[in-house]
Amino acid sequence: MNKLAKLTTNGRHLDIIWLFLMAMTIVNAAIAEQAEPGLIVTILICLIIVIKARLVIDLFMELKGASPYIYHLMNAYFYLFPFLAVLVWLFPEQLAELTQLSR
Amino acid sequence: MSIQNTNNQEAVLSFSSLISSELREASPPEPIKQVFDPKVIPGNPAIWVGIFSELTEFALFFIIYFLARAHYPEQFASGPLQLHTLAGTINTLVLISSSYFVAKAVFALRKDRPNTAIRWLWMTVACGATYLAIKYWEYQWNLDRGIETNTNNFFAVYYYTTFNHLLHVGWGSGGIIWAITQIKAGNYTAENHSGLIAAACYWHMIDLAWIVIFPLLYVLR
Repeated sequence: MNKLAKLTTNGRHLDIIWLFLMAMTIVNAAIAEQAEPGLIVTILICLIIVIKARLVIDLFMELKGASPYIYHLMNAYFYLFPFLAVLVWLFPEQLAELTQLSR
Repeated sequence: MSIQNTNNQEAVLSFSSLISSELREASPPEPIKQVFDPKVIPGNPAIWVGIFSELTEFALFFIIYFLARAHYPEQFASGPLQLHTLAGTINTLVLISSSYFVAKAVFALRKDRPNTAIRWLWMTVACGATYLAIKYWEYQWNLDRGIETNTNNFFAVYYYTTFNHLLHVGWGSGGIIWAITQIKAGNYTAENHSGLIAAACYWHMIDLAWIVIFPLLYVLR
């Protein structure tokens, strides 16, 4: 049995994923406290959202082997909103103008 | 004619005896077969209707966040700086841990270790309670600094989103407690625990929502 199969058989893969998710959260918080806001920082934060969501969806929820509709819908959701966050950072004035109620 | 009548009578008799023997040998009704494959739809279809409904609700909050952020950039730039980032971070760590505990519980029950599964699930409930306590403390901390729902648009979005999420943590905790009672009653077993999977998936959804909420409200400026 190879190493990966052994890890999943005895559930150790969950421990590793948990530690990784905790580490990414601390990185996120460090960015919040230390980093100057900017496009690169925003993209990095959104990437962290996507990675964390994918790990939970694939390995905690085990949706990878489930219905493709459920799996792809869940993934699409957690790709879409980080992407929108980057778009809003890049084009706030355009979005505000598009959604202005009165002119 | 008599021969035909005899044949008919024989046919009727044969048919009657066939029916009788069938009735005598009638087996109990078969259990209702599941119409879905639990491997394909984790838990049950109903919970996924619920999960996608809740995600739609959070999607509306996120869209409102983006629109408000575009219209009030100064408020959304300064708002996160006034929040208690450490409380938000600890809550994120708590929820991720709770998702881990739920996943360990499912793994344990699958391995036919119900007592271990119950212990992991109680740790999940403890995480839920911790999250609620920290959130209550954070709201009090905000109030002490004059931060209320009508302070500005950022804090209106902050309170609306986080309070709604808090409610979901409460409901999800109830679902986990229900799963604990079902395992204790022997209704969820290694072979049949789709109800636990359903509760677990709902709990993971709550964690996933916070994975988006935390950076949007506490980190992005």
